[in-house]
Amino acid sequence: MSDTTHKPVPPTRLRTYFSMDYPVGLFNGRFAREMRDNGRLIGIVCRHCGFSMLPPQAVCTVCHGENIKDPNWVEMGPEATVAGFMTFNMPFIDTNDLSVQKGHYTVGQLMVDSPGRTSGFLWHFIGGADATQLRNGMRVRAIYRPIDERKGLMTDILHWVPTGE
Amino acid sequence: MKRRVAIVGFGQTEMTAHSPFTKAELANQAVRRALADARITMKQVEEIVLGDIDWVSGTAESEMELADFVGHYRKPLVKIETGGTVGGSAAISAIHHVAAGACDVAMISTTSKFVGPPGDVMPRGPFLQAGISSGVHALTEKWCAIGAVGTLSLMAAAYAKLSGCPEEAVAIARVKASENAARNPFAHLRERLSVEQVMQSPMLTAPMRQLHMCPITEGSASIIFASEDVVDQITDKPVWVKDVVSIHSAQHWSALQDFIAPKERCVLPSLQKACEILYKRNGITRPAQQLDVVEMYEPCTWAELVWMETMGLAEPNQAWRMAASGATAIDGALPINPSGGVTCTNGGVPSTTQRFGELALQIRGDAGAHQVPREPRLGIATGFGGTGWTPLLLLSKDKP
Repeated sequence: MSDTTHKPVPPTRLRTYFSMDYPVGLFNGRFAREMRDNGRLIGIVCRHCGFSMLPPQAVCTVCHGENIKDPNWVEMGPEATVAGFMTFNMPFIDTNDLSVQKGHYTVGQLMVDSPGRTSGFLWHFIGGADATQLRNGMRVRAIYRPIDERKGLMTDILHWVPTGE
Repeated sequence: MKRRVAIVGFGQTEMTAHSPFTKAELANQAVRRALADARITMKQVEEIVLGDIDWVSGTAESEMELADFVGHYRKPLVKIETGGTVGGSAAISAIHHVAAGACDVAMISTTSKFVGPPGDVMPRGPFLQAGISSGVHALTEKWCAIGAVGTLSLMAAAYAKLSGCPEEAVAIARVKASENAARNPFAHLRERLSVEQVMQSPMLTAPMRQLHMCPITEGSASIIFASEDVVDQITDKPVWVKDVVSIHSAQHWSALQDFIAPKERCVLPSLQKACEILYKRNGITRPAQQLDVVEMYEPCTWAELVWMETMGLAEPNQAWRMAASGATAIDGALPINPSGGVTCTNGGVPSTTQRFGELALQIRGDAGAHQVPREPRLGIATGFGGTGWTPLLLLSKDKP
């Protein structure tokens, strides 16, 4: 055999674009489409116990009742009450696309207005006010991105700003 | 339980931020120390329950790399992954197997070793936070749900407001932890702190300071359990498992309103339910008086105060007064975390194993420099996980 047949195989390094693909399902799919196409939050109020589910899901968190047949779709928001908030000083990795959010940003735990017996709960950015003016119980309203920028993700809402009430 | 079960051995490695050892080597050290503590060999261990959080060490099937080093080759093996509570879940599983008669001697092994981006690219904290967020809702929470620091900060802010807890009281509780950890040769953060040092540490998210939050630790811990039928052949100082329970809560924060947006008092729902069940089954009506020592999984100092109230060890919104009075110190009326707790050592994977094992050492009287001076006979250990779990273990010196 000649030497040429025994040449080492050159190492191959592939650099691939990396992103995460999550199946959101029928119920969350409608939630995402409504946010993207109509700029509104759609949730489900449990038919059995009145618990508000935002994002919508077929089985109730509290009573385990099924809401698969004829679910009680309701619009929630666009206003919410701030239940808690924090201003973050450390970087955060968004595991949807592995992007890194750096610097100072305020995240609120929002009790979103709902016709059910409880509020819908969402985490989201609070903007339009400096952190020293924020307080629990403050009323805020969702500000959506322009329709051509929306992707069916939570970032379709730019942030929530105080209503001034 | 069908058969009574006792802890007969506990082993742990020294806990550090960056261990020079591999995960398998760490696991082996703790396993050997547990075997030495029980004065048995691997031949006498009939079954192993492995606990892990695979993704923190960049693996998916760590039972492969651990097989030789833990020693489960050709032995009955179960593997469990329940986040920060995994040591508790593994222990409860092993206890059930022994109690049911599936084996007489069972061992659990839990090891933490972290992988992630190089330190100059991204510190470990945010990388782990992203991992912790893997359990939350894919569409609505993963993108900004801020892992352990954020949610515990919200709870801390609510607790400070509702209870009137001043920052000094939290600092006193943190100093207590540092005093205990200084006596524990296996603890990670062993520096004695002053109230001023705690109050001047960097603010992560108000009111959570860096020193309030648990560190990121590498190390391993292992426990050996034996049935009442063989325990006399192994040890004359068994620590008896009086009861166990494990509770899980819901995925969505909406179901955790008492935790994160409480109206009157902060409560950890899974811990509340677990205590309700365990206390009722064991006739515990005044836990602060009936329990002699507590080893609690407090992911931050604020949580120690809230968990004390949830467990009924202090009146609602009063735990900070109890902590500030020194009642929870190692020589206090109810010592809490004589080991230094999770704010001083947090391997995540072995953290609940350490709570259970440290409690066994206290009741056996073998905790050394951090032994509670008044001989404890009955104690409780808790686990906590961002994944919504609470496992509880009630240990007794007296055979139940």
